[in-house]
Amino acid sequence: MTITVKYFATFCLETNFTQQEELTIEEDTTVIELIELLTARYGTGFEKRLFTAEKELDPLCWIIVNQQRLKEKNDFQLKLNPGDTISFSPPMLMGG
Amino acid sequence: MTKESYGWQGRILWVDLTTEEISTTPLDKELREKFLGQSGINAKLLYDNLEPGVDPLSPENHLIFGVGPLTGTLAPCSGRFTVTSKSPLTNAFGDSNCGGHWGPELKYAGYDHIVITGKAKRPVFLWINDDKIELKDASKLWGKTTNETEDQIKEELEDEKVQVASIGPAGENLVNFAAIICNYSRAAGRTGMGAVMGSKNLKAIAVRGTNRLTVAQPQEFSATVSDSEESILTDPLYEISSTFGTPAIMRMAQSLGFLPTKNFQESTFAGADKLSGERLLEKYVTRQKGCFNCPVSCNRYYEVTEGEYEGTTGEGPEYENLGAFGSKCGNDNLPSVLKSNDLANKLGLDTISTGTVIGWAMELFQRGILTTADTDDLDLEWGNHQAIIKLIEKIAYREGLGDILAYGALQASKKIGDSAEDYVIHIKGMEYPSVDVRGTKGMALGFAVSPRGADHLKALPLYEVAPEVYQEDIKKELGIEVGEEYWKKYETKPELIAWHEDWHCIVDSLGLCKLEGIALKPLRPCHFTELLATATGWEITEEELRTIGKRIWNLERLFNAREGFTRQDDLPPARILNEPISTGPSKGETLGQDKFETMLDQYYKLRGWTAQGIPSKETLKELGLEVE
Ligand code: SF4
Repeated sequence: MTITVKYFATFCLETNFTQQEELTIEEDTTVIELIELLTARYGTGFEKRLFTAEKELDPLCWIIVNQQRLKEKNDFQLKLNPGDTISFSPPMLMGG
Repeated sequence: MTKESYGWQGRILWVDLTTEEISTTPLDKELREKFLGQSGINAKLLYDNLEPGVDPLSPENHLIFGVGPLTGTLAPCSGRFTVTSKSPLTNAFGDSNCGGHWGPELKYAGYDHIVITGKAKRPVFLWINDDKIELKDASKLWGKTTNETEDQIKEELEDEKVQVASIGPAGENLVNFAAIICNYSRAAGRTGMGAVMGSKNLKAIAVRGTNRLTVAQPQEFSATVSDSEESILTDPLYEISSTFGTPAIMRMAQSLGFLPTKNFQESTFAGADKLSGERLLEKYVTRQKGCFNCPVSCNRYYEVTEGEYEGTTGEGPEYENLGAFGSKCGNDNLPSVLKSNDLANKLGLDTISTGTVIGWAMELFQRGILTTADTDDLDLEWGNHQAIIKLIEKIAYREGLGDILAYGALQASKKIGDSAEDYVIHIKGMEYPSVDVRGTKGMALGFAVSPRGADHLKALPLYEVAPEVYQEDIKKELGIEVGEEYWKKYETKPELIAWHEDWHCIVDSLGLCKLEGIALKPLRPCHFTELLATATGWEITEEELRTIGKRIWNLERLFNAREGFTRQDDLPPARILNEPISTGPSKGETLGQDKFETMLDQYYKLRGWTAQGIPSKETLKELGLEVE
């Protein structure tokens, strides 16, 4: 299936400035599996931006599936669907 | 210098351009203690010395430059100064804050404020060389860009270290949103301070200062400075600010559905990725640039190396510039935005108003209110970047349609007639920045009640959109619990906005940059009291300091009340107030007149203002602002 992945600001530093890409992945891939896939693709720097030393999701990272932000560890077991959009972002700021 | 004036230099410079009289007066202790410095004392000097009803472009208007007690010290991000005057764009209180290196130089020359009145008989520039002050002939500089002016003044004075704040052709031609520029790209942009300067035949102020600046408790000050720097450098958002600067906001605004597009007809822009901070860094940024003593250096140099705009170089742009010349005009051509930004800086235009006015003209063209017969055959189709660049020049030189747009969208709409005014997105005559505030209720309130018109910087409540980052601070400092999508809510926004306004009055009066103080997280009220105490010897509590912020805020409000501004002038235009956002993630979001007015009532009450938005006698008494 095909999904869209978007990378914002500091995450773009890990993806060599790819802002957005379409990825073809296995059916039923979960969010955490996608993260593993992206880590393999872009290096551990990508993963380090997501998790604290204690392997908790860094509260300053936003993972958004479609319009929904994932906050709990359980959320990472969420299975992705064809056509989903997943964003990796630092906190969204406005107004500068 | 007396011990009493550590931090401040203790002098106001008065320059009457009509009589060419130049004098200094001491900066009163009472003035310092009640209004702190920079924007606060500027506001007080303007309020006390300007007759109500004065034409902003007449010799009677006052143009006031000011620095704060921390400007030019070792405190981080302390390169700021403020220019204050009655605004020709709004006929209301006008001020504009600027970074770079000019402010510290004024301080080293030995002055906290300059008050300029009258009008010179011929173009002049003011040359402040410590105690030697001269008005020098600027006939040869008239017509030059801000870059050329800066270079030529340095050459004439044979000193590379001279700091120059100047106007370009836009200020000379009295464009109501002309800016004052220093260090080639740092702008006192909003509210038309450059036009006031032009109306006085004052092309530039060149400053060179060699006085020492001493602080009251050097060791303690140094420790507080280190602590403040540490807070900035370890702030989780430091990397974003210092790597991307504000352009990082572009795709975030798009994602949240707050990106004004085609003059606020839409709130997402298909070309946002092409205008992004990420794209800018990848393709065009050559190196970083910072203001005086700033560990963040959020600004950048850029260069376009191929295509139609090959050879374009410049500094910036901020997110606001990307929005103004980009999405607001339906333009996704980033090199053209970089060209527009550079051109606006050189011609001395406020980029926000310029881009927004052009976007508005494009909507009038879309609706047939303007045709090629009105535009000197310019095709104002959305995204026509060549036309945008042409219009920037026409505005600065007041040619053709540019001569009308130079008044600012609201004043221009009266000249164009028809239904042109319906599409002006403004408050008090100043055009909106690049946030569609229908989705962010607190920002909507902040923009509305700002004394200088639609303005994101007086309140700048970044807490509102990133509650997770700030929730502990919001709870501790404001007692507000934030929930999901806090930005959409009306509740607690009056408190949130008032808190930010008060503290930003303090940041702007101390001489610090608000991006690093309060707006983003690093510097907190405790840093301000400690920096102030150790720099000046003045021990003050956070509560007392905030009261000074409140006093300044009320004084600016009072200035507008004296000029006849009321509640009606705090209302957003119909599109923002009543039309729901039509596209994107914030689709359907609207302010709603009733809900907005209820929030406004709550805000007035909290402020101790009447239902018409006028500070009550009791409030003024409480703040020591009693007026006849
Ligand atoms: S954060 Fe940016 S705008 Fe503020 S002082 Fe530093 S370089 Fe200047």
